[in-house]
Amino acid sequence: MPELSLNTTNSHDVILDIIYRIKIRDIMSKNPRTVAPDDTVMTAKIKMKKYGISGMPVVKERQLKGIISTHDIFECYDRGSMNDPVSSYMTRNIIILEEDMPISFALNYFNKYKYRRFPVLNRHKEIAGIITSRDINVFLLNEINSELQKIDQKKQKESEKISKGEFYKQFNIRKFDFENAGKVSFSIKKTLKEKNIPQSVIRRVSIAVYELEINQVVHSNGGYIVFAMDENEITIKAIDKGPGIENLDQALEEGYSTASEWIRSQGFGAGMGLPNVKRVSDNFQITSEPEKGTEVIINIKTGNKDEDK
Amino acid sequence: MTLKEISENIGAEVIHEGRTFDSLDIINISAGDMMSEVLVGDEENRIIVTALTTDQVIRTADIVEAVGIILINGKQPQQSMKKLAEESDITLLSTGMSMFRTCILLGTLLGICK
Repeated sequence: MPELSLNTTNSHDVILDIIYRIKIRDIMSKNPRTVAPDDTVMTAKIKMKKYGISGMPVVKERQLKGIISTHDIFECYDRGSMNDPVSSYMTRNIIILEEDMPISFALNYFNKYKYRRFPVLNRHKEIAGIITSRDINVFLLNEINSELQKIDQKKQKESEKISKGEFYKQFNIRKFDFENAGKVSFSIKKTLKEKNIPQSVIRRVSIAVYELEINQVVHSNGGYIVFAMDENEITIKAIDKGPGIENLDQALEEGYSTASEWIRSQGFGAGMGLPNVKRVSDNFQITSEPEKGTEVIINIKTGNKDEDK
Repeated sequence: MTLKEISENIGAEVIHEGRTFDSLDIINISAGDMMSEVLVGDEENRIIVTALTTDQVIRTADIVEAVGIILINGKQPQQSMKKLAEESDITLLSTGMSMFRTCILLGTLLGICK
């Protein structure tokens, strides 16, 4: 198994900040289920089954005496009777954590020892909780998620520059993120409405952005869409990270699609994406390099056109 | 014919009533499960007939300014689709009829098929 190496100087500041800032107290399960040393192994087994846990601290007068795990119960099956006291089978030589320690300690311990859970003691050496690698996984994922959201928001703000009637905005697109597909188009549509752009232009821009967005979600390894606008026209760039289009002429043909059944079941992959984008654009350019990625740049004039496309 | 009249005539369940439910005269229909096909048209006062129950149907409707969606074969919207329909002010109906029957009936009602 590869070593967890989160708490090294190579880790990102965000990660280091989390694992040193957050204390074990913040993520451990408090008031864990416990058994007493004199309880029978059967009692321990029933409790573990009832609460769906694979190990419990053995506690007497709030003092930790050991840990009993499913492994110890198997031992009891082999060697003795289920009516024997827990104290005969529990693991006594236990490694403990303290609730004031940062979670970097817990990460280290999970790395170092084979145990799947560690009891946590408070300042008075009494049992305060229990921590499992699951507690850490869930917490870290949530924390990283919220940190990344903060970073995204910051990026978004930085990229929203408005100067001399010019407008610029960049949106990131993730592979297979159907849930959010369409949000870029929605956001741009809103901006254009606020700027009193003619309805027919808004519709064309929305269609183009929506198809480009869906294309990146469906076919690319992720990418981004840039929306820029000046007095005369709107420019949309869709740049992705690959895998590139093998045959551009075919991709521009109506009805040609490489989408899978699953994507079709989501309502896409009709082979109308790029043709639709081209149809609503005043200017359409596409370049694609296999392995590298695809870049689509289109322009749509903002002025009121008599003949609508 | 308004969406209200349409829903009564085809016996559809009303899942969400948009603002224009009882006022806007529906003239055009897009039927299909491929959203890119729906995006091709740009007729006004349009509704979409589909078996697809994802958010993307509402987003597509919003882009082409379709005012209503009829789900066929008794399909019920996914929770997020229903929520998005409410937010986007798009009428959402569900009928037990097939795509074919729904389209014939709508065609007759709107005077497209004679």
